[in-house]
Amino acid sequence: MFYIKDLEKELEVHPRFFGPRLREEIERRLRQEVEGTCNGQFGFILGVLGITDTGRGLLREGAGVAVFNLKYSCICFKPFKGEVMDVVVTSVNKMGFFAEAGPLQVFVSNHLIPEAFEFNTAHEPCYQTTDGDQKIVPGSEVRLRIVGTRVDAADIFAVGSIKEDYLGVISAPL
Amino acid sequence: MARDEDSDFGEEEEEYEDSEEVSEEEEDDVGRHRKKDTKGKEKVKENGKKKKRASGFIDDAAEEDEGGERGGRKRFKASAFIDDIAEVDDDEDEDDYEEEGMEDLIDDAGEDVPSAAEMIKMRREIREAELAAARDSEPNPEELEKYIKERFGGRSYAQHYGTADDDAENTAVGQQALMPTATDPKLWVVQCGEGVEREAVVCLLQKCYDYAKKGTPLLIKAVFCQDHLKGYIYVEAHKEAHVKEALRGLRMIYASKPPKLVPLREMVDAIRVVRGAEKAIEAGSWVRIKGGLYKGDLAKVLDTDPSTQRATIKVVPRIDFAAMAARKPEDARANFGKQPKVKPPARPFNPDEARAHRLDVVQQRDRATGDVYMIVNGNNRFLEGYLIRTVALKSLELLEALPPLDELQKFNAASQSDEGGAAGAAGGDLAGLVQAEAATGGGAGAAAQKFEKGDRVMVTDGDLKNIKGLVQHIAEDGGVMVLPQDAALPGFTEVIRFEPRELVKFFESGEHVKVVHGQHEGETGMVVRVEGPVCYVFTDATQQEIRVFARDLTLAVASASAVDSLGGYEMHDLVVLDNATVGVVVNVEADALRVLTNQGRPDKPDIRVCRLPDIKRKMNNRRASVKDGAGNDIGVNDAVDVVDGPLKGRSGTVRYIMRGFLFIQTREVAENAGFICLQARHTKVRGGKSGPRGGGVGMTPGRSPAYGLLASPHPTRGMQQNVLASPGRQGGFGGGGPGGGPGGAGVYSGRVSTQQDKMLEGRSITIKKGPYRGMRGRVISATATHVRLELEAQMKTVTVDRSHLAVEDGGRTEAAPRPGYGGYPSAATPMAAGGRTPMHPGITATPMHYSQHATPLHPGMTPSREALTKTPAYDPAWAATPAHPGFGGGGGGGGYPNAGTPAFADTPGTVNPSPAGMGYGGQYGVAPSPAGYAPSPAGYAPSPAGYAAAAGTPAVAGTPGMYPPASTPGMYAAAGTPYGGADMAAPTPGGAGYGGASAAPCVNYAHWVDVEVMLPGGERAAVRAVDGGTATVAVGHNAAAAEGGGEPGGGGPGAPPARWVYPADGPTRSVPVGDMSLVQPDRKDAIRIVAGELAGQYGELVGTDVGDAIVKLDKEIKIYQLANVGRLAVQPGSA
Repeated sequence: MFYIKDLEKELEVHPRFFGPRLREEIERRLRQEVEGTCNGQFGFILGVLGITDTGRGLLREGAGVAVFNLKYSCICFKPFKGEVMDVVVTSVNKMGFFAEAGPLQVFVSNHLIPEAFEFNTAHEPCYQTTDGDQKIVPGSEVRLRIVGTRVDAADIFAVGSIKEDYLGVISAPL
Repeated sequence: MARDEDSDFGEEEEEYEDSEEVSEEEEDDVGRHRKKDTKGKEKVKENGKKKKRASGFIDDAAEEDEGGERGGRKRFKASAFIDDIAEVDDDEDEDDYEEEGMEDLIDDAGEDVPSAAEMIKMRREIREAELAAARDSEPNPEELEKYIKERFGGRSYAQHYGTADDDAENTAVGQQALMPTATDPKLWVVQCGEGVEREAVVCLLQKCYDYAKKGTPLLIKAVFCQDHLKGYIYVEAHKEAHVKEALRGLRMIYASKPPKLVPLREMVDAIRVVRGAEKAIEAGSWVRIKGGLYKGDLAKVLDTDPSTQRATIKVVPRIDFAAMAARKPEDARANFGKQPKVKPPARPFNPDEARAHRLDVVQQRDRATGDVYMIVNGNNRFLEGYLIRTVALKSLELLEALPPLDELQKFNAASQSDEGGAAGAAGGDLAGLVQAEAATGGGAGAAAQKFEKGDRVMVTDGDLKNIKGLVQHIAEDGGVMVLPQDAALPGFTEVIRFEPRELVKFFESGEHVKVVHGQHEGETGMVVRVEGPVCYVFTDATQQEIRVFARDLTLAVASASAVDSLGGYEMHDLVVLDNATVGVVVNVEADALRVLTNQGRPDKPDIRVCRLPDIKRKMNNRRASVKDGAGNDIGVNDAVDVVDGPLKGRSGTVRYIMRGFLFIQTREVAENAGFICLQARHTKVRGGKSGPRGGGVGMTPGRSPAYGLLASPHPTRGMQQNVLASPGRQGGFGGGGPGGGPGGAGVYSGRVSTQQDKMLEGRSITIKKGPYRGMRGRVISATATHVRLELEAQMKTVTVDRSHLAVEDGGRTEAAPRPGYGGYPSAATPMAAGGRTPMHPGITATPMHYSQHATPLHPGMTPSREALTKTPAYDPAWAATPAHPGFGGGGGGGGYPNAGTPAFADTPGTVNPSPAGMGYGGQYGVAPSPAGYAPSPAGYAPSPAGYAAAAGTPAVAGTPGMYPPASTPGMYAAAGTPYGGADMAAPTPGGAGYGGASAAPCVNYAHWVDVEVMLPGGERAAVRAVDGGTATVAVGHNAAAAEGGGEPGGGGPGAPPARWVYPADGPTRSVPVGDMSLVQPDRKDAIRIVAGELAGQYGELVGTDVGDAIVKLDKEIKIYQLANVGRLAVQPGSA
């Protein structure tokens, strides 16, 4: 699920940036530091939309750096159990397949793939229906439901299922 | 009889209630005797009903006898049975481990009814045996006991009675009612001999019967002992006197110690059977064997005997039939119990295999259970493929919970029974297996699962079946307090207590779990499927799917791998997987390592999950080195940048080097512990030279800086620049100089250098590859590809590929074409090419010289030239006399004499008039063939002999030390040598200039008088007098030019020979001595020695050799340096 969140961050800025371009520097630093990060509470921070308030920079004693308590809005992406999302398959093996939805990695176990699909290594590893209609290969787009997530310090990993109505292959790789 | 056992409990009960029926004495005896251990407990429970029951018990036996036509047979059985006991006891005394097939017991049945005397004897024997057994703490013939127990439904008595008064017992009131009161009989504790407690009890029982028969029954109510309480028995009676009366005459009771009353409050404790450690191992328990051949093996308990502290277990056999067959019958007992050195693998018993080894396999049916045993060699019993053993409880270790799945599977796989059930699952149907386990083993409490706070559980039994909940806490008595969380119970917030057996752990797909028990202990992963009690978990670390019992899982809070080494391999170790594959350990898991191998591509690293057997060994080659894309050496711990490929732009530290691959650790990559693996050629070492290798020669590293600097327009920096430019040539000079032919033209030939090889000669080098790997040797000779080495360790000269050598200072094993070395091969090139120097005059004649003169490059590269420019006389001479035959040499300047030295190598650049020629690279490409350039002496043939001599003199080239700047390329040194050391009359402007500029003070021009010299303008003159720095010369005129009108530049071989005349009255002028250069004499010319110890002498030139002049002085032939020989201006012949 995507959210626009207003978050805060304390940012230290070195004195050498104190000048007319300070704001640009702050924004640059903010983007650099938060975009692409991940935490358990908000999920992946995909992008900073803007800084709503830089606050007043406070000089840190002894260090000379200014600390800005930034308020910014950003787009977050957090997967939830039960959520249905579209993913792109990255690799297929006998245990299942891995897929990506942006920064999120999802694993779909073969237990969670409909029985109609069979693992086939003849050409390249793939899951294929017996009639050959549908095929899950790296690059395929698949719609799945997330059955569980694991939140690490800097990553989220999800297990998905396509063993349900309206889930499965959306399109073949280009 | 086995069937009799099946008789209904109720029926038996009735029998117990039956009035006492006196049966034959022997049977009674036996019955009581065998029954004693069960009795202990039963008596306690029944509080005084004991006698009745005991008799009932016997009745039961009797009744059975009567209950069929087997009556007679029964009798035989009983006697047989007694016989057997004696036998068994004997046997046991000998060998504790040996077990008898119980069939023996039965089959040995005698046909005769034993006589009374026999019976008495037997009884005595029994007692003795029992005593002996008690002493050995291995007392009983447990088979027999089992037989009896089975026959009378032995173990079910307690249960049986339990069920009988279930209602009373289970209610608190009922329980209270059973508590002893003051009016109840009291309990007395009596001291007796240690180890004879049971015997005392049995004796009292017997006595009780006897006295009752006599009509004077004992007044005690009950007697019992506790196995854990050694040396005491309890007697229940109303009065102490009754106890004493009953005990009188029993030898095992210490009469001196009076019975002590057990306080009312302690009575219950006294009869409580402690369900302690020994209790824990029960039929159905899973155990591990502590020692011996089966150490660590999983076993299932079939039966236990608390009295003997022994248990019957079944294990997957580890039998070595071959060894067993080889064992001789006579020493079979001797080495029994000795385990073979190598543990035979555990596998199911196969009777055919045993028979194949000619072992005696007997099939026998256990009458009690109906099981078919295979008996091998009379002492190994097998049931359904398992080995059946009776062992001491102490040698077993109880498994708290169900054994790990894999072991369980292995164990069950050994089963050969065709029937269903847990054993029949054969590892296939796990769910069924576990359920069966729960039903059987679980009931025994052997495999009770452990719950923790926070576990999600599901109720499996009772009213609340299938309700899910959360474990709140565990009560002290083992009850699990569960808060139901279920849609079926909305708003229910009360915590309910459950027994552990009523609950199972419960997981759903997608949950993150941790394995808390079993083989995969410690692993974390996500549940992908739940199938009854088995969960399929996709592990975080290995990304594999494992099957685990739900009971062995718990919800994971964090997934951190605690271990960082496995089997001696640690994180970040370099390990060998196979001949072509090495890798770095990037993660360590419970039983596997993740290895980043060199088989992947940079954009798709190859990560393998390796178990210990997959890994050959650890590697550590800290000293390895490899070349980067620019040809620089990379060592371990160097910082490198990735210069191409998908990882371009990354940088990191080289951790390992293996077969051209680098394992680089970088902080820019998070995965694989920050390791990337790529080929060395995609990288560039930090601080190394840039640019790809294998470009033009001009691009070679040694050259390029010089190139840039040479272009510098600052004359002031010329010297320095040249110094900077020199490194490449320094070596060239050293090597090329001595042997150096005059042809420096091959400088840019780009051919693989032999110069390099000279460099190697004489050095000691270690061979790092190939058959001679590890040896050191001295280089005898070397070519571009191979090196001949004289080995130090062997009297042998071998030819080794260059790539097999390890050169300490790096890079030299490869014959990088360096310009400085270029001179050398060209020295070897035929001079014919050089001889073809007709173009030389062309060059010299070309006005381009001016431009060349003007070029900023020029002063920069040859300081000597710079010096020249400072010479006032130089300029005009340089510019004005295009015809000067020496100019070509002059163009070569100071370099020329040093033909073949790198210094000279530079000169073509200066000579070449074309702007492109300014640069080395350009020079290389544009310049006429280097050979063509060769300013060989031949090319200069028409020029004064002295000049050529100077050019070729090895001494010249080899005397860098003479001139201090020799540290800079040989150029200076060489340039300075002939002139500085010889005389001022050096004919080449360059030489002269140079000499004049830097070496003038040490030159004596006094002997130059009469000698023909060349002036910078190309004129020739005869030296008339020398006075300090100036010389008075008579300028001659060219008779030949006047005659033939030929071109003035007579230097070229194609031009008609110039003939200069110096009229005695001709005009004279003063010139600086530095401007004068000697004219090379021809054969038979009159000469004067201008320098050296013979300076001043006159003579005749007989001939010239390379750089040497053969001079005839007063009829004496001497060889002299050509540079020190001056041609007389007035030749005797022409004068």
